Amino acid sequence: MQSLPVLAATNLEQMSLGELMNINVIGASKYEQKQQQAAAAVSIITRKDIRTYGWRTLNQALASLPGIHPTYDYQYEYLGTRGFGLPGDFNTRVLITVNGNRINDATYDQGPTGRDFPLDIDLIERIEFIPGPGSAVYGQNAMLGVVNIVTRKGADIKGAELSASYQTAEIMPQERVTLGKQFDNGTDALISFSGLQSRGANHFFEFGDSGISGFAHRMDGENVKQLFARASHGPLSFDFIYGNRRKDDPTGMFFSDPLVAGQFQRDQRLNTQIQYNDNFANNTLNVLGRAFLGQYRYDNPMIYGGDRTLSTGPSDWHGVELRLLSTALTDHKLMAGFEYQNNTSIKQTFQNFSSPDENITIKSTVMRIGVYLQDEWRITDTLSATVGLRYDHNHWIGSRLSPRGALIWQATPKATFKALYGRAHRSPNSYERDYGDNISQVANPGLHSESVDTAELVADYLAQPTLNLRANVYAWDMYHLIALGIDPLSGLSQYQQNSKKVVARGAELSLDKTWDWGARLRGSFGIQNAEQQNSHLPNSPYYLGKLNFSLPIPLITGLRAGSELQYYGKRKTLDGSNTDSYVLANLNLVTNVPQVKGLEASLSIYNLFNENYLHPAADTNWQNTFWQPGRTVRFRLDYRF
Amino acid sequence: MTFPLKKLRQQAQRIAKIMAMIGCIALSVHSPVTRAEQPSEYRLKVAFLYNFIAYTEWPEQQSLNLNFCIYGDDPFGEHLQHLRGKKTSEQEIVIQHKNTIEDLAACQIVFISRSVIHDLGTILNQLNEKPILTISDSPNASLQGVVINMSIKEGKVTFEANIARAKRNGLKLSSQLLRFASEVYQ
Repeated sequence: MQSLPVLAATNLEQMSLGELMNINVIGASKYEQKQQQAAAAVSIITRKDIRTYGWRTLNQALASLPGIHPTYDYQYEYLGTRGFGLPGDFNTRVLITVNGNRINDATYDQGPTGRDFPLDIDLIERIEFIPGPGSAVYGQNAMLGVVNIVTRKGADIKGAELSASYQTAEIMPQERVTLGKQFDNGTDALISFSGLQSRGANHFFEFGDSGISGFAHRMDGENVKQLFARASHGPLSFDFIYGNRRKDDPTGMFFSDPLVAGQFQRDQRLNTQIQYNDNFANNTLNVLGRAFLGQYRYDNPMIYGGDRTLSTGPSDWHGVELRLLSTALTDHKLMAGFEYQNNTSIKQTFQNFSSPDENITIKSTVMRIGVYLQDEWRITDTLSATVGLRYDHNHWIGSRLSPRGALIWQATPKATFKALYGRAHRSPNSYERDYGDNISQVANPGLHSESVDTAELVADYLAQPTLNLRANVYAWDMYHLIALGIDPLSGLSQYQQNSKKVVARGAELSLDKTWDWGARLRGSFGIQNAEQQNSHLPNSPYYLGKLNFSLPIPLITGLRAGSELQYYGKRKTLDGSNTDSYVLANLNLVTNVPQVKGLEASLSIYNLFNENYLHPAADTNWQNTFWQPGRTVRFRLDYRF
Repeated sequence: MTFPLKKLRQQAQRIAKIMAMIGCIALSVHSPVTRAEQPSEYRLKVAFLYNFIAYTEWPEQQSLNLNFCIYGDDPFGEHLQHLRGKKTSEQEIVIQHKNTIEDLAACQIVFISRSVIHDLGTILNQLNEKPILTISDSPNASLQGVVINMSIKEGKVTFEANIARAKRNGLKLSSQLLRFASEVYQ
């Protein structure tokens, strides 16, 4: 291993470009420095990282970050954030956006992070994870974090990409065809098709009170079809995302008949937008306007006592957003915006094909508006402040205010300190508020919004040009949490608001180190404690440890290894017991095939040590916990031409 | 049900893994790396300029000098001394400051500073199809036709290249250079 070159200011010219590109600068110019100094402990995952570690879903990529604990229940993947990951919560407290377009649907507010996320992860250029409250700009759902995804462009594809892979344990082929180009007139276009067909593994399940247990034979299949198209010309851009994912249900979710085939969840998401983004007034005014449209379709056939049933939850929405960003006033960056979203049709149905008298259809609509203002004020060269406020209104919850404040102090060229405060909220979704079949659940039109107050201190220290250290401590209090309870009148399930607040305190330490011979290490350790009424929250590990190490393999040109090691502390389950802590390791090897130009091969081993570990289940499951998938191997080829 | 011995062994394995992780973190923090001065933005950008020049091929040159011209306010200041008199294969770099667009025709390299970037269209028109390597550090400048444009991303210098424009100006950018470009317009 080579040692780092001494960066004495005299011999920089002797360094190679590759070495120069790894050097951090101090005192970068105003505007760009502000970009770095975002008022949050932002983490960025790039396409290179996704390739290096062989991540298959958004959830897997995000799991490498501090404060994230993923959960899987053989239906969906869930993103636990900063101690919060209530079983049965469909990621409603994290906002997912693609190129600024909200992906959370209008029926369940679900933030998809598994294969139901409608964009192929290989089409992602960059993932920005902004932990903490984001409602002051983004409005509802941004309570514990915002996942902002930037897609790749045609100019980056420059022709065609073909990708095919095969995963062993699940007997899962996966394929992608992407075409992209930037034309001479500046028009950039990309179109991509992806598919996945999984037979699934045969897992053993117990079905709680039913007393039934056994292998769910061929009930873990999965089928995904995705389409992504994007075009831009000058200030105009258009994107279209469609994903259709069907996942067979081996668990008998919602207490449907155990070990009966033909039960599945199907999620179809269509998200499209037209965006206008241009600068005016000598580049001091940026105007962003966008019009968006979304459709969500949900189908869940289940079998109860031999009766075939079908639940659906389609919703349609559209809206516009206008954002102005001005730097006309010296030392100020002012932002003002307006957002309108009309959820024109939300429908929830339940059909029992044997007893049609049980059939129900519930329709609702809701219109939301939001207005926001923010100022980033550079008080002195080393001190800046951000203040922001957003006003939201919809007729279910009335008006909500989401304020935010941040102080950023660059104490020395190497050390930056941030103090952050924010309030965020979420309106109940239609499922929580309106769904009632009088068999399993009763509606609760009286639900109001829930909210969270967060305070955070962040210290960033650039110990060496190639070593970043970060420490942060946070505290969040969540009020009026919407969760499943029991209606005292009917004795049935009902979403209710808990008068007892949820209180969380946590600390995270992370580091990011690169070496000039091409290796990189990212590591973090987190302690978090989330409780309600002095009782620890379920599915909330106290300790998290993450280690991601990538390096070029010596002697073999183009071969790179990415390995990750994750430690998750024990998690409380709904019956009060705890799942064991576990260590999960993944290994990915990726290389260019020298004989064939444009060909890349990779081999990934997930759950390398074949660790047996459990995740807590929800109160809509027969099970109290789920054994997680064991070791699986994926072989993949990518060809670019 | 697992018997206790197996459980114990699992526990031991788990602890060993955690220790390995902690060890790894500790090692990397205390790795004996030379503590060095960090360069300022424009000091580092000068080193990049040198690389850009070294990896560019001009059409048949008679001149023994490579005229490096700065148009607009000079953001590099004293750091330019690291470039002065440097040789790239045959030629020596000569630094000049220019105040009018007409004077730029005699340059092989033109750095278009931010103070004149509002006039970029006119400047590029004037230099079009001349064997001149244009360099800048303003957002989106490569998209508009500057051959190489630097920016700062996450505290590091990155650059994009417009090889369509380079070709039109009769310049050849080495693949050694282009492989590091964050974006290549063609």
